[in-house]
Amino acid sequence: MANDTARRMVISVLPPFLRGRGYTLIEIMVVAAISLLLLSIVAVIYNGALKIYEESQGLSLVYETSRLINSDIRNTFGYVVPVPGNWIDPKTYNFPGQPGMPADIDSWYLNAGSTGNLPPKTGPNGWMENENPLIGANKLLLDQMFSYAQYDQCSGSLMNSTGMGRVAAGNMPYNMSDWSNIKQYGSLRGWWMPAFFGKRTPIVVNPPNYIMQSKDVNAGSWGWPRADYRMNIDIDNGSGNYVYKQQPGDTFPAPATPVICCWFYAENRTFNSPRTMALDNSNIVLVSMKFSYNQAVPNPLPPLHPTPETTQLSFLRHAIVGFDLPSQGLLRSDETTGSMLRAIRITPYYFDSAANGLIPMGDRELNSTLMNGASVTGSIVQQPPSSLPLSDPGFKVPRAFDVEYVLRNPYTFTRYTFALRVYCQIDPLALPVN
Amino acid sequence: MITVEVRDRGSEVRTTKGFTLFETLVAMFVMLVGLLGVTSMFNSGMKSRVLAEEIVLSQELANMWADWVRFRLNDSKPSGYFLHSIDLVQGASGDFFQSTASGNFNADPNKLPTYQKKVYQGFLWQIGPGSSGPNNYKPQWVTLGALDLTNPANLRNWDQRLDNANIIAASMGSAPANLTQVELIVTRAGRSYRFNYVFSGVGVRY
Repeated sequence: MANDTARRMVISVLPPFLRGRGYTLIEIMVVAAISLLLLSIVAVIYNGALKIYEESQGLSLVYETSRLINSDIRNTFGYVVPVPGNWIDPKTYNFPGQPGMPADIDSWYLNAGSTGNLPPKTGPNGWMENENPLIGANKLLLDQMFSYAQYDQCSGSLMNSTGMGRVAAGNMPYNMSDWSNIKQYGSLRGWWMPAFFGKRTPIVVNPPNYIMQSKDVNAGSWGWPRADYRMNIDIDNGSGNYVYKQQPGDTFPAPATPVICCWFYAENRTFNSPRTMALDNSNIVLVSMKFSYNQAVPNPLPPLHPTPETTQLSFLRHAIVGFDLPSQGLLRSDETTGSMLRAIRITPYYFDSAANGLIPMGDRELNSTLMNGASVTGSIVQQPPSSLPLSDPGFKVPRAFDVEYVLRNPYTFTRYTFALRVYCQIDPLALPVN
Repeated sequence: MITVEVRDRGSEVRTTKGFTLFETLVAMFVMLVGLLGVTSMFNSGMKSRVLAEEIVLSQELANMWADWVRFRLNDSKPSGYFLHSIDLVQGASGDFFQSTASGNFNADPNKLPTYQKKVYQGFLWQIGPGSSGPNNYKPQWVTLGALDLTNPANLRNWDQRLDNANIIAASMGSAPANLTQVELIVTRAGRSYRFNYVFSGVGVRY
């Protein structure tokens, strides 16, 4: 009764539209609790959904990026001609359309005189000059070196009037002296060397002083496959007596433990037919990966010896015109991957014919430190530190690569490790030898 | 809904309506179910998204598998590391995450790079029933005028002329061995993705 009176008193002070039935405290608490519970559930679900959504956004990015990276790596490693190469600057007498710039010509080509048994490159009978007459081995050498691949032997006599052909039967094809209409005697040759120019086989030129020959890989066709034309190494030399570019001041032969690096070129095949590549086609984009290693310091130290390099892996894109245009990393932090790429490890494999299988070259593994989302174009520390070249004498040329890399979800920072094995499509060791 | 009679001072009687506790609970339950419905839809969306990524991965794995096989496949080499066409039989299978496989596929001393990488966990492969079997696949051709590939009468083997005669003269010797078509099934959690590859037994030169 007292309660009823109290309730009446409360109700009586309310305005008429609020004078409904009141709720008991327990009812209100139950309803409030349920409301609170529901709100909490909603909040939890919303929060979870938001997280899942973010995670999935990031995960999509991670997976798609992984796919792009795989594609790039496949293109880069799959269509390469992995050969031991040498680090030199791309220089020649004349680049197409450029005036002569002998100051920029690599000394290897200019090394006049008779250092060791190298024939002179300039001066009388020099490889690089239109000296006439060239005789004997030098003539043959020069013909092979610069003329062989570029002009069709069969059309030689027909091209006589242009100065590009054979003068008479019995001459060596592409006789040096037949080129005289292009440049005056004593002037420098003015065309780009073929991708593979062919001084090799120690017939006259001893000691074995090999350059990869035109015939070896698609005969200097400018086309695919093609390795770095700058290398001066004979990969199919069974004895492993690779000869490397001499540094200025070196004596011949090259140091016993030459330092080499390995170049890989993959071309953007979208633009290029294997047979129609032209060096002045600005559409051509080369993708190269360069492994280089700490260089041993030669003794005596040559005057112009380059700064020793740290081991690095570079993804570079070149336009071939002008070579080495400002490089653009394939995996740049500000483009494709954001800060996602955290680490990469590349393990090369060589094919061991005795074991009939691929053998990992663990001591040549490239292993990045944890990268701070920076571009892959940069230094990757080789672990363990070593001066071993990627390809070494003894035919350990990489035939496959295991690539592992870690991508980080930019939203949740979860890391995902991806892996890929890429097989090189071309085996340089299987190519015909002469 | 209940009706409540309210009597206040002055004996004025007024009636009002309200929800019972039970009704309130029912309404809240309905709201909860609706909420669960929404989250369920969200969940489905997320799941399909994850499945999309699974497809991406399965494609990458299938590509890698084909490279793996193509590099090792060489009928002229001793079996073991080298695969032979006869290894490409229905039922051959393996696990990308565990880097295990049946038969000669397991003879590769190198673990697949996917070994123990969690994103590849649960991805299995097998050679499916849609495969031709070893050296049992001949490419076929049709003429422009009869492009209906479902009509067997339009199809001729690559070594057949239009009049069905053998395109290879007897003096040329036997034709190259037939190819092997493989239906690769990449599976994860019971979901299958099918890919087709054709191999010859010639292999990469070594």
